[in-house]
Amino acid sequence: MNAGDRGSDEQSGRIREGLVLLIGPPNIGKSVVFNRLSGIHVGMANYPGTTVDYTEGIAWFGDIRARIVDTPGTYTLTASNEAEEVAVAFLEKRPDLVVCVLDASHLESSIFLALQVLEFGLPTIVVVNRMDLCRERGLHLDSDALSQELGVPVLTTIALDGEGIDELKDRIFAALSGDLPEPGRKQDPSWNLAESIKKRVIQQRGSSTERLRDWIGDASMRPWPGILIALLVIAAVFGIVLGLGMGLRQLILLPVVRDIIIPLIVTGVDAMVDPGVLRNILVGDYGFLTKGIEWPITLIMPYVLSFYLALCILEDSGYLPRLGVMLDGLLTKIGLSGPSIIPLLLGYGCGIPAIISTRALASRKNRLMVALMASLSIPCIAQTGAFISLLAARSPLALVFVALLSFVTLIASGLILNRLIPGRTMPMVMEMPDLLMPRLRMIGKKMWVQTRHYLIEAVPPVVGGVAVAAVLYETGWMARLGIFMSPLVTGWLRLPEEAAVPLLLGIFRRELTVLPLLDMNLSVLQLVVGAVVALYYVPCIAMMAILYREFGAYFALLTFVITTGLAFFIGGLIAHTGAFFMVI
Amino acid sequence: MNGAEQNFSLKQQIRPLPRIGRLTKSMESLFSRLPGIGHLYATRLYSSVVDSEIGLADVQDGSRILHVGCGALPYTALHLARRGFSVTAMDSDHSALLAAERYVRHHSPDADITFENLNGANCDPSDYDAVWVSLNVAPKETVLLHLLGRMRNGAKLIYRNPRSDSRIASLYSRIIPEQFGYDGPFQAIPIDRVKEAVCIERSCACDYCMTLPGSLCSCEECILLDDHRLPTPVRVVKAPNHPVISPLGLRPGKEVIIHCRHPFGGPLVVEVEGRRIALAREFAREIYVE
Repeated sequence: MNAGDRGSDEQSGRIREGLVLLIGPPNIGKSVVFNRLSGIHVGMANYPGTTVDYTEGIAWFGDIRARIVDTPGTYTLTASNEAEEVAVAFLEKRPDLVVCVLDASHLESSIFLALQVLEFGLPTIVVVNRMDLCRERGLHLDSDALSQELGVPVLTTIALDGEGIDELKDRIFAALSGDLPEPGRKQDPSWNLAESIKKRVIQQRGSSTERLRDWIGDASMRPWPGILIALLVIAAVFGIVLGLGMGLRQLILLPVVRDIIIPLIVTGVDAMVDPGVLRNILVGDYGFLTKGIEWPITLIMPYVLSFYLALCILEDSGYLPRLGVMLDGLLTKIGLSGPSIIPLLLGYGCGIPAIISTRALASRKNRLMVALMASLSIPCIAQTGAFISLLAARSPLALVFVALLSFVTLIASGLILNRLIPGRTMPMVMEMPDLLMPRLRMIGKKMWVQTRHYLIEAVPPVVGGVAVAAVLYETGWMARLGIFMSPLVTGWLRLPEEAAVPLLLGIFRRELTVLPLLDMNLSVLQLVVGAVVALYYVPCIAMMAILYREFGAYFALLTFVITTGLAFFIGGLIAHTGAFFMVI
Repeated sequence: MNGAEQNFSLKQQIRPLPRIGRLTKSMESLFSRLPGIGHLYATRLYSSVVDSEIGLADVQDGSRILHVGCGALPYTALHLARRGFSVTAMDSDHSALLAAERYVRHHSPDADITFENLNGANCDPSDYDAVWVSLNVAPKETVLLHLLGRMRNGAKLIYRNPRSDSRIASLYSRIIPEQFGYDGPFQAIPIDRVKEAVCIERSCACDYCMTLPGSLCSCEECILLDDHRLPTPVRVVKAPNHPVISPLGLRPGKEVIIHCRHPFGGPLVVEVEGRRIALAREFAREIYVE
C-alpha cells in the first residue's frame, strides 16, 4: 500500500492497515516470531532454508489490521537462490515497517544484513532473537549501544519461549499508529563496519559451557562416529514409521473404524436407502462411505502420522543438515549435493513440499534434478502406506523388492539426469545448526497441523475417487473402460480388467493407484506389477500443478510423459519376465 | 622511452591518443641523435624522479635491476647504473635498443648496463631484485601481470602512472593494481608534477600466487584450506566473495578450525567463531590460509 491509501484510511476512520515485513538471516527463528505475531502456523524447522516462500498473516494491533509477511532467510541482500530473491523483492515494495530479525549468537553477519536493510531507508525495528543461545555462550549484548550504532530501536527476544514478544507487539502497534521509528542511519555496509559494531555492542562475560548435545552435535558431523549415528537415525526413522504406523493401525484406527464407524454408517444407510444400486454405491464393494473412509483412515493415516512424527523430530533437532553432510560425497557422485537430501526426504512425505523446498537449492540444475527424481521414484507417504497394506501381508519380499527398485531408480535417474541436464550443481556450503532438543509442544502442534491437513486435504479426494469408482462399477461403465484399456492392462501388464480404474484414479491421488488393487484377489506377481506401475506412475494432479508453477509447462509435460512411459514399460517388463520364469 | 616530459609540451598536437606511444618513440630517436638537449634534461630533472623511486622501493646496494621498455633514451637505466646497480635494459623495439646502446656507450662507456631485445610480456624477471616498468610500455596490464607472476619472492615492481590531476592524465591511462588483478598491498608516491610511481613487493610464493600471479596474497606462507591437515586453527588470508561463504564468516582475518573432512570427496566441516559450516572441497580449494 502507498501513502495515499493510508491517508484515505485514516480519513475514513475505522480500519487502518499496515504492511509489516520480517526479514533476517536463515534459521534464526523468523517463522517463530511470525507465528507468535500472527497466531497462524507456518512451517518451522531447525535448518537453513525452511521457509522458501513468503507467508502472509493478518494480525490485529488494536484497530490496526497489519499484514505480516514472513520472508525466506537471506544472509545478504545479494540473494544466492530463488528463495532469497523473495525477501529482496518485498523490501522493494516499501512496506510500512520492517522488522529485521537478527541472530544474537552470530551478530556480525546479522549486523551486515541489517546495514543493508537500513540502506533502503524504511522505518525499521531490529529484533535480536535467540538471546538464550547468546547467554549460553557467555556473551553479553548491549542493546542500547546497538540501537545507537544502527539508529533504530532494538528489542531482544527468545521467540521459542515467547520472551519479548509482547514488547515487540507493542512496538509494532506504536509504529503502525504513527509513531514510526526513524529510518535509521544509512551507513555503507561493509564487513569491517559490521565487525566493529559487533565489537562495540557485545562482550564476553562468562565462558561458554560445553554440553552433551554439543558433543553429540559435533560427533554426528564427523565421518566417525557420524556414519554410525546416521545409520542409527535411519533405522530409528524406519522403526518409527513402520512400527508406530502398524501399531496405530492395528491397535487404534482399524478397530475404531471397522468395528464402530463403518457398522454405524452401514446401519444408517440401510435404514434410509433400499437395497439396490444406490446402496451399493454408498456401502457396497466399492462403497465410498465404507471403503472411502476405511482406506484413507485405517491404511494411510497411521503412516502419515508416524512419518511426520519422525520427520518433525529430524527437522526440529537440526539433524537433517548433518545427514546432508554425511551423504554429500555420495550425492555428488550422482550430480546432487548434500542439501538436496532435504527435499528428497520431504518427498517421502509428500511431493509438493519437496518440490517447493527445492527453491532453497542454489542451482537450477539441482532443482530440476531433485524435482524429477522425486516425481519419478519417490513414493509419497500415502502411497507407501498403500504399498505396505497391499504387499506386507501377502509377501514381505515383494515389498522389499519394490523399495529396492525405488532406490535403484533414484540413483539411476540421478546418474542419467546429471548427464542430460546442462549446468552445474552448486557445491555445498551450509551452516550447521546447533543440535537442539525438539520441544514436545512444537511437535504436537506440527503433528496436529499435519493431521488436520491430511483429513481436510487428502481424505475428501480419496472418498471422491472411490465414489467415482463405485459409480463406474455399479453402472457397468467400469467393464466398458476395462475392455477399452484391456490391451494395455490385461495384454501388456497382465492385470485384470478392473485394474484400469486405479490407473484412472491415480491421477488424482497417488495412493488410489494402489488401494483398489487390494480387493482384486491378485497373484503376488500381479501385486508387484501393480505396485511398480503405481510407483512410477504420474505424480498426482496437485504435484503436476506445482511442477507447472515452478518449472513451466514443458517440464511438467516432460515429467508426465517420462513417468507414465516408464511406469508401463517397467511394469510390463516385470509382468512378462515374471510370467516367463513361472512358466519354467 | 622515458620521454613523457617531452610530450606534454606537444600536448595540443597529439590529441589522437593511440598515437602517443609511436610519437614518443620518434621524438626519442630524434633526441638520441641530438644528445645535448636530452642529456641536459636527464641530469637536471630525471635523476630526482629515479632517486625518489629508489627510495620508494628501498632497493639495497648491489641489487640487480631490470628496466622494461628502456626506449631510445634510457635515462632511467643510466641513472640506476650510476647509483651503482647492475642494470639490464630491455626493449622490444630493436632499433630503439640499438640507439639506446649507442647513446649509453657514447656518454657513459663504463655504466653497468646490459641491453636485451625482449618483450616485457614474455621475459624472465626471476633473477632481478627490482623491476622498473616505463610509463610508455604497452599493453601495460599484461606486462605488469606477467612480471609480478614470475618475479622472485621479495622482489619489487615499480611502474609509473600519470597523476590523476595532471595534464598528461588524458594521454596515458592510469593503472591501479586492481585493474590487472592484484589486490594486495602497494605503495604509490608522486615523483614529479605529472607522474607517480607505484611499488609492489612480491611477497608470496604459494601455489596459488604462482599460478594466479595477479591475485597475490600478502602472506609469508599460505596454503589452501583444503591442504591444511592439522587440527590447529589457521587464519584466512583470501576467500572468494560469495553470498553464503562471506556471511558465514569465512573472510580474510578470521580464524578457522577444521573439524573433520568427509570421505568420497565429501565436504569439510569447519568452525569459524563458534559456527559450524559444511564446506565443499571445491570451495575449500578457493580459500587460502596461513
